[in-house]
Amino acid sequence: MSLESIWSSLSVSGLAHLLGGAVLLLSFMLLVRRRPMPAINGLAAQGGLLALVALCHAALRDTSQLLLVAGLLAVGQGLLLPLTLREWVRRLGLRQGISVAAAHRPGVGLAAGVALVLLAVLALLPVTSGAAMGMREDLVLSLSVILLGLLVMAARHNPLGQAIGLAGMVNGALLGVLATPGLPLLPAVVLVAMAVPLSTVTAFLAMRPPAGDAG
Amino acid sequence: MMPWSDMLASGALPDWAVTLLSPWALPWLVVALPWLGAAVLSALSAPRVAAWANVGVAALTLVAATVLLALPAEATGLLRAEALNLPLLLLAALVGLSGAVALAVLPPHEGTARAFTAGYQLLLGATHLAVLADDFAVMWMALVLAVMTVAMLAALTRGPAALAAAWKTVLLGGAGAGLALLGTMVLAMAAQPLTGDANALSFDAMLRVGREAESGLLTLGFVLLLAGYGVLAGLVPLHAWLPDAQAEAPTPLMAIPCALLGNAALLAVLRAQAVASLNPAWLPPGVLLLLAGLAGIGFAAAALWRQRQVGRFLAVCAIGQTGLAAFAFGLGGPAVMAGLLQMMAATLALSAAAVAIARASALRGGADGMHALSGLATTDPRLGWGLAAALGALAGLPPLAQFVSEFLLVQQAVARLPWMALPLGIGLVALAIATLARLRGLCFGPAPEGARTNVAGAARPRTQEGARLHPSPDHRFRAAEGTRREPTAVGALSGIPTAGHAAPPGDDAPATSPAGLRAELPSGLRVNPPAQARAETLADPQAPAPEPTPMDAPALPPSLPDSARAHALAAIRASEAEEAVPLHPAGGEAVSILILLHLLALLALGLFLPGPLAALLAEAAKVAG
Repeated sequence: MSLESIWSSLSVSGLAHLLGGAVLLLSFMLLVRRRPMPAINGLAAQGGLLALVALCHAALRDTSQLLLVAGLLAVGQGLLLPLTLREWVRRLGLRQGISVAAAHRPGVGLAAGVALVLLAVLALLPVTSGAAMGMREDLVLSLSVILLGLLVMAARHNPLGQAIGLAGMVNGALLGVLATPGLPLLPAVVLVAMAVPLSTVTAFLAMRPPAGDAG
Repeated sequence: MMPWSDMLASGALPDWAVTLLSPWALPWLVVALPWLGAAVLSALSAPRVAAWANVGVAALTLVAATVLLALPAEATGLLRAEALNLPLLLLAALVGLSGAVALAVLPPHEGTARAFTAGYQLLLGATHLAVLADDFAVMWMALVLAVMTVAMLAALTRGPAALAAAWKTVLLGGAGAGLALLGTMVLAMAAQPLTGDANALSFDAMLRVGREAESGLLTLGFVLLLAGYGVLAGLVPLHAWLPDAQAEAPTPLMAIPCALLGNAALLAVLRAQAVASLNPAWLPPGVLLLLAGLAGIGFAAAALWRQRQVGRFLAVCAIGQTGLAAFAFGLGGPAVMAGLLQMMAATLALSAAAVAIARASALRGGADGMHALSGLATTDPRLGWGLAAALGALAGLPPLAQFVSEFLLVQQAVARLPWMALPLGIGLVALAIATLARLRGLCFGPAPEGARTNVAGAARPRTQEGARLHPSPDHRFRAAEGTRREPTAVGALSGIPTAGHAAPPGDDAPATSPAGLRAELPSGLRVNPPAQARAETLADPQAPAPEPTPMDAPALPPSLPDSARAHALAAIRASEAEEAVPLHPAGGEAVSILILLHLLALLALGLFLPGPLAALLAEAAKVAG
């Protein structure tokens, strides 16, 4: 392997980590955003970033499966899910005035989020000491995004906010899936994982009782 | 008799049968049959035909599962029948069949029957897939599908409380699915350098290479999988969705799908533990399971006393039994056999209890309160004694299977971890006392007035006074929907109470008990006159029970103004005309036979383990312990 190819592979893997970091940053944004629309936009951006991460891994590992997965992620997490959530907001007329944040002090949420990320780092340090060193960054990023998603779910007291938290958490799990090398069933797993928040939101819109949501 | 392999090779069977019975196709058949059945059932609109089609599909699945047991298990691929999952698969198919028969004679609340049977088959297929899967990723996909189906089943009545329960299920199940997915990936990262790409997630391959795999990653993967699948299995403290989902489902038979999902999830945890304990790191994997098991037993022993709704009561029973099985798996070694036996016996006993309670609820006009169902043995002796035997099995009474598994468990605990035997013993006794106390009230307590004696056990049409005394789910929702909620941010966003506001676990649901119904109707809110009148009639269990009145004079509070009274009478008659589904003519016999078969199976498991089954369980304990 020539020096040049090593350099290029290194930079691509660095890019994948950078994008993963951006996903984590967007999770923090989900945590502190009060209004639904910016939070949904953040979720869409997360989906797009996940697709880019998949493209990076496709370049690294040279498999066509990951290209397919990147397309799936862009369509599902980047487009379909945010559109469905927008539909939710539109139907219930929530665009203005209603907060999806439980606590109105973003500082508390941020501090809790940082504590969770620290927890993820500290928990993974002893675990990934040996041969698993190379996977440490991916695992820390993935676990952090999952924990932040759980925090969003726990902190919100309304279904929309909880659904956004669930979607953020699934994005974290997807980050971990993309980092795992050599999965034979990768597209199917990604598809099922994406179906969790999407079917939840769709079923909620379909089964919501017609009365009582006039606001 | 010719062995299967010879028969397949000798050409005694047509080609299609050989293909179907080949080792790679047969496991998929067990999965595909229920799914095909679900597709057909969702299209069938005739309720009787659909109910018996449901039974037929379940029977075919049981046949396929039995053949799978008889065939040599040399299969490779994504699905794999082995000692660990075959007993559970056979049990799932058996209980699936009895649940289908029960659904045919005790159909759920009308309007939901079609969706419920279709969802039931979908869930059977998903749990069979999860049990049979050798690949952790396939198992994860199947369990996600199963928990989403359970949420759908819980939401079917579409009342606010049902939607809140389903939302809670989806959120907790989704969170569990996310954690379990990461755990699966961590296991794959640990195993992949050793097993190669193709079967990085194969349980079989992982068992072979587990000793050399990175111990930290294995433990991390197990912890994540335990947290994720623990939600689905109903391990304390991750069980909060289970009582709500069972309480709000259209029929008490919901306990059967929930038990099957719990079994599949617990098997997934057991497999992860088997892999992780090959090379334990800082934390032996069994410790967490031991603690979760003890917590489950303790929770059930304390919470059983407080349950006032039968769905919740069955759910708490299931949580206690799951705790016992988890404790056994945490001990490891031969105790795994006790745990598997415990899972099988618990599923059988819960299924029998659910069938009996569903029948009792239908006999008492759709009531679902423990108080309204009490005194079954005096009004309907066969049913009452059958339920008593099933609950006695859950309490661990001697000749039945739980006694054997609990005896084995205590023996193993004393031999391996003596200091854990004391809390286990206290928990077991407390659990048995709580179960027996509730059994006494439910079966041998005083029957509420208005419940007719049915000594002959024959089917009795649903009575007017029964329907009035005990609200059916439909009534609850109509009454609850009559209220107008305050337009808070929460209400404006959703229209349903959120999961965060739902009843605390173990507590009585606000909207499910008569007392809760009254709480749904605070005086300041606007209420439709008929709904309020009805709710007040329904709400008070302490009020003197109205005399069995003739059809044209339902009891209403005398203080009502005349117009409201007329409205209320009209609403009551209309709703009763809608829901006057006569009970199945042969329902009493069918239910008695079903319960009897379950009890016989429990007795057989308890008195003598059938030889092949004992061998399978011992081999399973060797694999997983």
